Amino acid sequence: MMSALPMIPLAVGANRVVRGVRVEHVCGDPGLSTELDRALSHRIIEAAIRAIQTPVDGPTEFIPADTAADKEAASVS
Amino acid sequence: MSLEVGSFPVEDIKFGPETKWHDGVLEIDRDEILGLIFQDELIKSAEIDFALPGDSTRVINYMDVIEPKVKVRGSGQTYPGIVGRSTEKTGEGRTHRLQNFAVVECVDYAGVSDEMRYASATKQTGAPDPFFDKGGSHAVTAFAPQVNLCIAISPPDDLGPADRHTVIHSATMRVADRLAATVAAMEPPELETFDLTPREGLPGAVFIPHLSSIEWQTGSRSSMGMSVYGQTRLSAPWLLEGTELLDGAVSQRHSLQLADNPVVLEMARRHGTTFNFIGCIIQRTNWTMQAEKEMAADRAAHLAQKVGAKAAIVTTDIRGQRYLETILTLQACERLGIATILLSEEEDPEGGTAPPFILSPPEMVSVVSTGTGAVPGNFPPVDKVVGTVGKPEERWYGEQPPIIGRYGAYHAQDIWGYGNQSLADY
Repeated sequence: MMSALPMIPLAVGANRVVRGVRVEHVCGDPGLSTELDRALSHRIIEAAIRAIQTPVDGPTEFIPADTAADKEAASVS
Repeated sequence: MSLEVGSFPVEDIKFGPETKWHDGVLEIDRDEILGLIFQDELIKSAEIDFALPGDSTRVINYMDVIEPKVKVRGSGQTYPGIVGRSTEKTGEGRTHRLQNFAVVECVDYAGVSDEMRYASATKQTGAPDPFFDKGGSHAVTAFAPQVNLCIAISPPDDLGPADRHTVIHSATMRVADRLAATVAAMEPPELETFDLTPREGLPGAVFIPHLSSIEWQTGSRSSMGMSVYGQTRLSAPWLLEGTELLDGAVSQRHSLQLADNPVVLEMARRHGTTFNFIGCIIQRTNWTMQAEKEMAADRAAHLAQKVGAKAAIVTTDIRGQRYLETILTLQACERLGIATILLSEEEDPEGGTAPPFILSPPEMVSVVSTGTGAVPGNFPPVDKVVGTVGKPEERWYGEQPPIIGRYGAYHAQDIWGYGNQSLADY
């Protein structure tokens, strides 16, 4: 599940929730240049692909990697 | 901080040679009122009519419902800040109001393309057209009980949504002001004093209504949508006195329910008994990132704590993500030790399959429900339809589909339990 408001799917028990950007554009940011927007979308999709391959015990949020440091955060709520 | 509210009840309305209030009857000089509307040359066609409680009458096309109020003592103007009105602080002195009465602003979109109409972002495409019944089995919404003067205006050509709103709402306010002026110099039959000076030794309580902003659709400088002293933008929380709300400091879209708000009135009436009514924290919603919503919630809770609140009543105005923002405020308040009560309508029941609330975290320990708003059975046929400039479409005289729940049903919205929908539920 990709969501700009992960709190809601986590509360209703979605196992893997990827944090998106904003309500009106979950998987990108039209405020960025085309290249940066695409790169952001890429990171979100990668987080989703990793999420689906990660075993979880319950509702888990996956946060896409930052631009600066290529780190992947995951937190259990 | 004291406000006297003088109430002049309206039991009947009729046309006459002079606009005046006398002994519960509001007399309307039709030409004078139409003249006020047509004062703006951009308005080419308009009509006025009455809608009386108990009559087989349906009001359609309504955009806002306004209770006429006038300041007779103290600074500022009622309904401040909107459509070019004074932004001076209100909430003190004396205000006179026409009670059990409202001017209904109806915009007749006949002949207007959907593209132009829905650009206004005031109605979701596909949602039922807004209407309310004055009599019969379904006269249950917040606007059923009042005597109404309905103003129907055709939207001026070649104006964007915000300018169109300004033109139409200005005309409505000219009429509301004129009617309120009829009682400005009179002694009110009822006078209620709200002195909100804190009493020593009592805990503080705040009202935190969450009111959506449509900035994300209209931009931050738009005249459209609910406003705080004219500001409709998605802003940090505003701290207002309860008496400022009673003067209409928060208005538009839900003007009657905001300026005659049952929560504000009850908290103001109980001020000084078991708690001090410290104020209202107006929390704007529709922040579009979860992090922004969390930030805004923390700011509201911090403000509540700083002004000494030990308890809060939070309400929400639309469901979905606005409800999430309300719950975030509730959580933030509870974390700071502020006992917080949620007053809310419930989700659409969806045939009994939907949960009453999309989120109910452990901090949510005290909830007052105003029901789902669902009213079974069709709206019955009616004899009279008002709210159009010309002849209403025939379909409006016939049965209308039942209210399934309030979400998306603008004609059934009743955030604070002002209407009687819930009584049909239980």
